Amino acid sequence: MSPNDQLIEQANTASEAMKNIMEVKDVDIATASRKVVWEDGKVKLFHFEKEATTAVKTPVLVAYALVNRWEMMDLQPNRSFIRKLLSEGVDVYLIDWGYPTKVDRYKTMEDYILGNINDCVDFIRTQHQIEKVNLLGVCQGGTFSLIYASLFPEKVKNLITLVTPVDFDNEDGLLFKWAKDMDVDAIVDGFGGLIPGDFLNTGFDLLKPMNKMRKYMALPQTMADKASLMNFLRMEHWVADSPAQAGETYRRFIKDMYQENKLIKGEFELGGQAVKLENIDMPTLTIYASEDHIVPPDTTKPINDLIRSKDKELMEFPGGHIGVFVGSRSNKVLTPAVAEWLKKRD
Amino acid sequence: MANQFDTILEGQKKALEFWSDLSGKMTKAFNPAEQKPTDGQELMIDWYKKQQAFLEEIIQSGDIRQAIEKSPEKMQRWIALQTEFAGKWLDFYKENAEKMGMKWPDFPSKMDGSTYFAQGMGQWKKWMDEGSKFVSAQVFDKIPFNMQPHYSSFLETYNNLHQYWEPILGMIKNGLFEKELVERYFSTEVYEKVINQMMGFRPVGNPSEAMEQVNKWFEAYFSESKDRMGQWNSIAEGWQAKMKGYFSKGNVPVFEMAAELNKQAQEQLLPFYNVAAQGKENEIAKLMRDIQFAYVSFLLRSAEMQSKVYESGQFVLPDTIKSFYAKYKESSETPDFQAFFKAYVDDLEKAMTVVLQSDEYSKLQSEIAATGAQIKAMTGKIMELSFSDMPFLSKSEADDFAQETASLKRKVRTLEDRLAKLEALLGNTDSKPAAKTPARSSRKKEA
Repeated sequence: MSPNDQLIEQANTASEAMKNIMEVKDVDIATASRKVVWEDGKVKLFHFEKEATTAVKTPVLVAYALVNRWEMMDLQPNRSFIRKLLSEGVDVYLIDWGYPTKVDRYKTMEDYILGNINDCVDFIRTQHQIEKVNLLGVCQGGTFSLIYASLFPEKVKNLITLVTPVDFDNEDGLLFKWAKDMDVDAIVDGFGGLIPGDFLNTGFDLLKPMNKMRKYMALPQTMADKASLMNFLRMEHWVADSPAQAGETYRRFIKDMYQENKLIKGEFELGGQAVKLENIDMPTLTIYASEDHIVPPDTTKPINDLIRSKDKELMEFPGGHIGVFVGSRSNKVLTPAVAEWLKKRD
Repeated sequence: MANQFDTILEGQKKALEFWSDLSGKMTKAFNPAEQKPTDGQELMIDWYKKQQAFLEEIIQSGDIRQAIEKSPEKMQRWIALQTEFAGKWLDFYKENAEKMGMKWPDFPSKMDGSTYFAQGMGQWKKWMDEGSKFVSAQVFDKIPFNMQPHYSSFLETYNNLHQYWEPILGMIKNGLFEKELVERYFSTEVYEKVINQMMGFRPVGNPSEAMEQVNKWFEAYFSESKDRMGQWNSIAEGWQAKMKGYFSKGNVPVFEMAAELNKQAQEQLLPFYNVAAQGKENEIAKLMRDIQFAYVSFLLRSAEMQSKVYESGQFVLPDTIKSFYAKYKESSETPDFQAFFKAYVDDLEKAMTVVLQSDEYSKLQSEIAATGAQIKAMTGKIMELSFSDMPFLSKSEADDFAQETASLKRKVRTLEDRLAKLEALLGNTDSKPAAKTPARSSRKKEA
């Protein structure tokens, strides 16, 4: 490209970028219509409004991770895992964990799984007069869902896990390596029992330390396209909206999962009950992302070897951890495949 | 935002004035009425006319701000006009200026073609810089508060490295990529500054000096506080005085009364404070010592971790220059800064990841995080102790409430479960609490 052309292109990009950013008034995310149908303290259960004729009778309960917010699953109308499921005729419920504060520092994994998840499952069972629900767990929420399904197989019709770690004895993922060396007691106690979201984000940032540089470097080009600009701003808002973690749950998750890998060894206990993954006998769909640097595929794949289900499937998504929810392939390929999988087992 | 936009318009206005003024001077210099136009003169006259027409069009379209905002293609046309002319004019000047014996009105004699071009480009650059600042301000305005430091770091890094682009470009073109040579332009200090900006490090600097300063500060603290040992109520008194002074200014009798009552109570309780104070002061002093040691350890470990990261990337710049030299040698195309910066960042990440994956780094990072958190906790404890006789609820006390609440919640859950089982036995299937609170609608994100 000649210097003249470069100058002209720069000016054009800058002008478009300027025009676009000035037009932005509001950055809205998670706009799919929904109702709060149940709540307990900070935890809410959302029921999304149907957008199509019901194709899957059994409702799906989505359990997101405690890290970051579920809004990633409904980032924008044309890149929304939730909306796509709705448009495929799936009835969707979702647990919003809220924003823990110091009063929640003693909230345990028992409180989340035996309490909140079980309450939500029972609420849906009661409302729909059904025995079982479909459970879809995301990342850490997937680990919680596996534990729940092990303890209450009679309440779960189908289980889907998305980018869910189960084998924590992994050194490919930096997070897994660092967590092993972490003095989690010092961290939890030092932060007064509430792990700040920014602390967690710093760790995630360090996994790919130059990602932020790359993101901002591409900003002029991103801003020159209105849709890309809005997507960028929504992502920025999502990343920034990082709830703190209840200290006791964090402590236990790091120790029992990352450091001692108890779940896969069959040594994990919850509320005095042994959690055995082999108790999972319902149809199970395990989805992992081939380029996932947060939950590498090898930490997810063993799920299928550990459960007793006869009907089990491993599905690879070509992309990264976040791409599972916001990538264009997610809306075009992954979510319809999930809906189809559910339809066949309804 | 209007002011920032005005700034960019101002930059553009200056650029327009510069070109417009110069074109006027040039037209006068040639004075077509007295001299038959040559090719070169026609070029300038044509350019001048085109520019005049363009400016008139802009002005006729109303508000310049709106015109630029709504029609980026206008800007593009204008830039094309200037750059096309600048190129042609330089060619023309080289061929004809001396032969024609041209004299430049109101310009110093050293003003040659390249200076002229540089000045024009300088205005253009200024315009782009102002535009860039404006856009950055807009970005700051639209991204969340806690993402802004990241964007600032990026801008600083980018600008910092950009300052060295000219010598780097020279090295690329001349195949100079030895580490020692690169460091002559891009010193270790500059390199470490870039890494600090990229990684969000707070540089420790010279560890020995930092340790000395920390120890000095703590020793000064201990020396001063030694004098106050056994006079625990001094803190309370100071607080009383401040409160009284503050509230009396506002003439709020109830606070004056409260301050007075507090004072009375304090005097009555003084014997008790004198007994209690010793323990608290000692505890504070012990915590301060612990913080001192922990902080020194934190600094040393941080310096060690930072140096590992610095070391990991020290060959990346020479290597990136080398790879760009290879490409340049092959194609003779001058690389642009953006492409270079991207390649540097990618290579740097690869080099750093090797260190980040090492056991040593992992352990160091863990130790630093733990020590940092402990220092935070100890500092909090000192604050609690210092204000323990003030009418505030301390963090530890609030923590007790949290513990009690969690325990009660668990008891309620157990009771609910037992009740559900009992009701199930009695044949009541609707045994679970259906909804703990009434349902409600929500279209937007819940607070």
